[in-house]
Amino acid sequence: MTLSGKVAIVTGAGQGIGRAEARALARAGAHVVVNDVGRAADDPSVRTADRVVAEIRAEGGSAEANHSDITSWDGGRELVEQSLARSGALDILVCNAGIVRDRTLSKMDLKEWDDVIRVHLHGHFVPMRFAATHWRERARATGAPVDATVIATSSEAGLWGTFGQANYSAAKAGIIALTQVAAREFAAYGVTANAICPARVPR
Amino acid sequence: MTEGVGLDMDAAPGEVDEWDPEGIVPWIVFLAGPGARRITGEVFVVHGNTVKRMESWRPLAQIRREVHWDQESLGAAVAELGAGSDTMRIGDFLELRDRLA
Repeated sequence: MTLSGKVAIVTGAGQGIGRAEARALARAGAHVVVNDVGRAADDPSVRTADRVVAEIRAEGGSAEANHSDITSWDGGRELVEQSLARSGALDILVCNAGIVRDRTLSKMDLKEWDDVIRVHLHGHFVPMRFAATHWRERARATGAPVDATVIATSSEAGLWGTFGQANYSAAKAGIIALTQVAAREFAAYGVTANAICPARVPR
Repeated sequence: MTEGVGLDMDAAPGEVDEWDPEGIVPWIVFLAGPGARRITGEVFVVHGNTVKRMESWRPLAQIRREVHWDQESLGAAVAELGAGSDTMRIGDFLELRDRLA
């Protein structure tokens, strides 16, 4: 399998694209750390990350759950440290966690702005920061480039701006800039960084 | 996926669901794999079975002067920038403004 022996983190992987990404990476052979703070809508006693881990294992894949709030410094560090402690490595970081709080600029309040900026930008920066520290140290210790990658999740809203999504558009534009900086800085260790914009075409 | 995005955008019967995460994940697995080791700093728009490589910001036009601009010279030269010629955006603006009038 393509990713056999690799260790991947997927943030916001309890549902939607993150869940599909985690399952696909596991099917490709990676051990996946499934991160999400959420609980299942149909059963709040169930954590969505645990449910995705069970799905992966049922398909014969390898996964473990992480429930850290990756918008916090400690949460992002715990996520990366868990991957390194239990799996011994981190090769793939997929930053996917996000929320929307849509409202036009004339009505948006600071909490709606801050919440979206925090989840998207802190949620990308913090895990990326601790992963980068690990990759830098690994490259220095081995004297060889690290075969690792970051995949960030932006949006066309970050390219063009979307009506009613000032917070989301600004956050997604920031993720593109963050990814381009990461690509420049991580090149020194051999690590790549790219951004995807999941989108739809109008019918 | 970002919570709340695309939840009311199910495909009509017989149409490709452009929001179906399964359409996106092959590209994620590829980017994570050995075939993408030389790809970095890129932005890809992915919808359905389409992947677009996006170009970074670049100047479309520029105006320059040997001395500082003044209002009169800017007014005469600004057409060279083509600013305001994006008919989609100016059309949206005019439509919204007319709606408020």
